[in-house]
Order: sequence, then C-alpha cells, then structure tokens
Amino acid sequence: MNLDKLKPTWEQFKVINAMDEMDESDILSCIEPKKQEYYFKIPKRIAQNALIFSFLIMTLSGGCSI
Amino acid sequence: MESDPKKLFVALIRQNQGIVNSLCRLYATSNEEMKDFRQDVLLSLWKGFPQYKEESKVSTWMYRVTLNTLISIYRKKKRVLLTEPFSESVESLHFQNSGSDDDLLVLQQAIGFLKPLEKALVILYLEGYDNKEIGTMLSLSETNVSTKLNRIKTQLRKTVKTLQNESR
Repeated sequence: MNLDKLKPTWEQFKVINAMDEMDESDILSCIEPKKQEYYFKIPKRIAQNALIFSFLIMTLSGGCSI
Repeated sequence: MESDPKKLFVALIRQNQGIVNSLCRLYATSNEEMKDFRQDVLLSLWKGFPQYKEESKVSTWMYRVTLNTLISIYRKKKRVLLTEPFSESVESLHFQNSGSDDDLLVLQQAIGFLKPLEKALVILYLEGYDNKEIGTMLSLSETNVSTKLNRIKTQLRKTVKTLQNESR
C-alpha cells in the first residue's frame, strides 16, 4: 500500500481535531497538581475508619444479655 | 518572548493542539479515554518542557513525547492489541467536505487496528519524517523502522481492502 496516498487525509484529520479546542484553564488543570483533593482524602478515610470502629466497639463490647 | 513558563507552555499547546488531539484520538477507543490520554500527554509534555528548548522543532518534540507517552500507557495497561477503531470523531464533527469523510474513516479504522508502536510509525511516516528520524524518536534502528513499515504497509493494504469491501 502506498502510504503517501493517506497524507492528505492525515492533514485533514489534524485540522478536524484542532477544532476540539482546549482553553487555558483546561491545559492548566492538567499540569497543576490538585493539592486540595489530596488533603481532603485523608480526613475522609480517618472518619470512615472511626465510624466503623466505634460501631464495632458499641455492638461487640456489650456482650450477650440473654 | 513570554517569560512565564506556564504561559509559554499553554500558548505552545494551543498552537499545536491538532497534533495532541489527533494522536490521542487515534489511540483512544472512546471520548472519555481520549480525554484521559490527553491529560496524561499534557502532563508528560509539561514535565519534559525544560528539555524542549534544546530541540529545533516544536512539532518534533511534541510527536516524540506524545507518542512515547501513549505507547507507555498501553504497555502499562497491557491492553488487547487489536483495539476497536474509534470513529465517533468523524461522525460528531460535521466536516464540510462530505466526499472525504470516507477516507477519514478508512484512515482511522485502518490505523485503529494496528499495534501502538505500529500506529506511531505510520503517523510519523505520514508526518513526513524519514526512517532515521522515526528511529531516533521511537528508539528503534533505521533498519528496524524500514522493516516494520514494509510489514505495516502489507497489513494496511489488506485492512483497507476489507474495509472498502464492507462499505460497498
């Protein structure tokens, strides 16, 4: 197959895809680290664990009343 | 000349976004995946941005970083090699010249069936790079590039024939 025949189509393909524009904020959001999200994950996990443990302590430490 | 590297980078990407979008689209199987790939590629380009200044052409640097990032994403994911070609882009963007839409679909579908490294070889060939330049960009020898391209041409011939027969 003569790949050169596909060259104009490839150029056209690039033109079409250039229309799918990224603005400045889109690009910056990809390259800037999301610090806030990272810090929010830690308390969320701690809160989840605390809830599970407190539930287990309340239910399991009571023993059997019968 | 812009002094802020972030502003310079954003301007550079916006000028050449056709390259990034086209490559991510050819490697992705859905719009969502395309956006994920683009995010990874932009991050790789940003990380490699300080080295770019030493290179002569922006497009060459962008092709090298983008293609190597996409190939490494595929290697990490260990995906099925025969991927479903992504044709939503042509359907979603109403291109004015309707007669050439068939060629675009054939290009996307035929390239879509190739392995990640083979896709990169074809793309760089279509961009007009010679075997030596392609080899340097993809860390392959010149002979290896030539052999692989010949094999791809044979494979593409078969795929295009099948696709054209199916569309009739």
